[in-house]
Amino acid sequence: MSNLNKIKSSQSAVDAGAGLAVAKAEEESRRRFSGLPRVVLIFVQVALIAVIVWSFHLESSSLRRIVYLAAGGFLVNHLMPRQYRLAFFALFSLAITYWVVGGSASHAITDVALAVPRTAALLLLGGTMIALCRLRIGFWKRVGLLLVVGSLAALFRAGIWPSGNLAGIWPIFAGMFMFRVMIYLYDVSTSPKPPSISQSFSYFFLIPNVSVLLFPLIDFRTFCSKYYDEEALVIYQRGVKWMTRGLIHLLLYRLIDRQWGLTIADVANGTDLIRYVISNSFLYLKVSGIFHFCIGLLLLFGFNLPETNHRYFLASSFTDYWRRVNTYWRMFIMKVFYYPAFFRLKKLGQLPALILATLWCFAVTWALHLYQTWWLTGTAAFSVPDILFWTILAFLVLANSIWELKKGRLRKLTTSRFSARDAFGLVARTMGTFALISLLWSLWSAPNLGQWVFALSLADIHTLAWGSVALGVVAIATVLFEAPSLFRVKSAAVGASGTAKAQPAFWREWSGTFASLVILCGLGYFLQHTSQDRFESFRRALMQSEMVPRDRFARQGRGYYEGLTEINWANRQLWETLRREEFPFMPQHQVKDYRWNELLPNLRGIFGEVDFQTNRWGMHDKDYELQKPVGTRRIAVLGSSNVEGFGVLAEEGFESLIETRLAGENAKDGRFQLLNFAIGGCGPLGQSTVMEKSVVKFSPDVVLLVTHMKDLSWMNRDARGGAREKVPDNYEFIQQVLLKTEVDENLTEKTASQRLRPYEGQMLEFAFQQIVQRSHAINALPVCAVIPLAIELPLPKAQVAEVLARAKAAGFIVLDLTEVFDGKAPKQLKLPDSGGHWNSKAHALIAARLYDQLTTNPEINLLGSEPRAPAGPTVPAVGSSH
Amino acid sequence: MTTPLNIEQSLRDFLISEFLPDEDPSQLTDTTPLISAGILDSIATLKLVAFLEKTFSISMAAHETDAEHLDTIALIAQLVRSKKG
Repeated sequence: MSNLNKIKSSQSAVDAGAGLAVAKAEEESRRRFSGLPRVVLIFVQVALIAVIVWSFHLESSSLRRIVYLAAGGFLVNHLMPRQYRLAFFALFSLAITYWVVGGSASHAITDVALAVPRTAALLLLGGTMIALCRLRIGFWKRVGLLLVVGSLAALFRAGIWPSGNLAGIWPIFAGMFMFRVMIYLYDVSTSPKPPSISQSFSYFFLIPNVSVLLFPLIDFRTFCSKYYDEEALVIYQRGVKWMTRGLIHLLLYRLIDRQWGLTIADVANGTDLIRYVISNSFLYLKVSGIFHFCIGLLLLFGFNLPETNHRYFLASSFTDYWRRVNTYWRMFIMKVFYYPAFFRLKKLGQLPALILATLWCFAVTWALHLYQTWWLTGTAAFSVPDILFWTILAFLVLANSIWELKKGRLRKLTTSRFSARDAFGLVARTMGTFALISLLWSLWSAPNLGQWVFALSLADIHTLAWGSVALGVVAIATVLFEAPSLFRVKSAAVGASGTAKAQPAFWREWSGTFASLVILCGLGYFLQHTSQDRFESFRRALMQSEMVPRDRFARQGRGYYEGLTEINWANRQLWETLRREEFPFMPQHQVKDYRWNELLPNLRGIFGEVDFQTNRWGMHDKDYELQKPVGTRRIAVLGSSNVEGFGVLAEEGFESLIETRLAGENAKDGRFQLLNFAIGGCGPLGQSTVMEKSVVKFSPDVVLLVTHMKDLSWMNRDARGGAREKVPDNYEFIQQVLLKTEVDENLTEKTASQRLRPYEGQMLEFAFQQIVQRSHAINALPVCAVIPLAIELPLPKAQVAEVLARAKAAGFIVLDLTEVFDGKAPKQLKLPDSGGHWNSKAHALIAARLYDQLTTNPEINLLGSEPRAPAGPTVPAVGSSH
Repeated sequence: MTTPLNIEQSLRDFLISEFLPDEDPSQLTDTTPLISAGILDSIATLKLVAFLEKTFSISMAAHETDAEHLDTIALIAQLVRSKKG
């Protein structure tokens, strides 16, 4: 061919190529815009999802806002030419990261002073990790360099090196990189060509990972290869379907957790036991919900990722359970740990290699769960239930695997040959697997092995009965969902052409999902606007956000994932970043004695929705000198949160009102000081410790203990707490009671409570005696005012009589104020908070009555000469109080 | 000597006899998804790898056990051919 012809030929080829590219672009553009009506319909669904997320306060406020932004981002992404979408997604994700990490309580959009350094730090660290993975050096050298960078980050995470305003980003960094860097390194090392920068940054800075720290472990190769690998509208609609499924799972989780679920602490009989076991196994709905939601959101941007879990509660074997419960985690472990181990070991023989590789994988899974916990929460501890759970599961899966290796398992190309015999076998295996897995989950959620074993020992006929009901439900679900050919027309699982059978019609998928979303919206609207009392508990269960701090008594028995999916409120910066609200002001910290908490000094903030201030001594009171001024009578007031004045201004508390009135009306009788030593959550035993640690230093003339009928049950609570927390130097009397009732940390709370109930009165009297004796030791007059809480009305007469009698027997001068609220409805006396604390009206009533009693009681003689402290009784031997 | 068509047929015979003994062989085509349809799980994959190494005298790497390489008979055959050169 002549040169000219060659040129003409090349030119023709170029022209043909260019023409083809133009035609392709025009075709792609036509498809984008011809499907616009259906895209709008998908957008409508996304908008409904946003409404549902908002109305139910699902997850954090930053995630809710990400959903709103993602709705718009989805449209922009779809309308963009295909070749720009990945870059757009990467930039969009980075922009959202910038917006989220700049979150604070004081800025509506973002605090630039926080966002810039935090985003820069994430990009620098993340970029470094990505670059290290792509270095053209040996694999293990890259691992070594990554470990160096990871270790430096760990020093910041642990707080060994201060990170100032960056402290809040370490869990976010971990959520993005702690696992995905392993997969990325593996895939980059085993791929012939390196991934693009857009692919790499998209993969690590995926929306909404910046707000959801426990995130599905997406495989990098799958992430790249499944990008728009199907018709776009099909991918988007599947994404919406999964987001909807995620919402349903999250709402179901709330219902089960708040209405029906039990922690092991609450197990006291066979019915409680089965309820605990079954409800615990469904708490994974929280993880399933979040994962479905996040992956569904990514499908809206064309990442056609697989389902994260598939009806794990209908697994028919342990290997099947392992395959279903967290598909992404399983794929990660198989790819990075199992297959490499197996291939290295296969020279030993297939069976030994399988055994060792399987056990290796579960050991790695256990270790990586601890690693994950540490990065996300800042703490991690070995626990026997945790180790046992993974060990037992490992051996069950191994046994199953060996069985499948030798005997094979049922596989089908079509569903047409699924017989009744097959279905029966499947149902039986599924029920067995469900029962065992539920039992294992209950072990994993137990705080210690002893409590779990004790709980199991409570099994009775009710356990069997309700367990059978639960297994019956599983059997029905198996038949309906896993053995469909019994009831449906026989069909091929794969088409005649050998490809997977065609996807359901768009309209059928859309209408089903749309209907679900409309129902959820309707439910949210109804619950927000209904005033009917019978829906109140239902409304509270479904509408309240999860992100509330939990007190130490409520923390027990929460499962592994609860700790990871709730924002760790110990990380103040993370809280404010993701929730965009002030970190709850906590004026107290935990102590390991019967006080359980003590107030911190010199603090001021909003607590109980009012201004709360502590003085230099850690009292919710004005300041006082340690040394009592000459001519002053001091009254040390002891009590719990109501006495502390929770929810009312300091000057509205009865203690302050009495002090003011004494100063005003009785100036000629000298000066009077009332010092408020009350601490929220502190029972009588703790108040004895307050005497020892604080009150004695102030030389009071009178020790005024305010007690309520609740203090009987609080003695029970404190005795259990003393056993569980192993309070140092525990009272001998309390130890004797614990010994006699055989209460220790291995009992469930409910059982321990039942055993201690007969001894509540005696323990209360013992605690009262401690306070009386300490008062005498400092020459102070011990006075006990019995005042009911608003939530105790109407008063239980037996308890009133008992408390009055115990206080008198202990040696107190008893002031009976049990009738101070007579004629008033509880609603008039309490704040709307969940504790029902005294409001300012209740405090005023108490102040008036107590003032009268203090000033007129001849034994107290507050306005007269100095009162003298009489001698008190001795400690009785332990025996039932009834 | 292994001819180009024999590889696919060998694979099909192996998969049917080992994992799908009661199924109609004509349903298993060169493009039937194996991993994504649950026919090849981890145990089956290891058996398949052992078969490939023994039958075709090739050496497989751990990272070649994913869907990208083993999801269909066509992909597996392509992998085998690439290793045999």
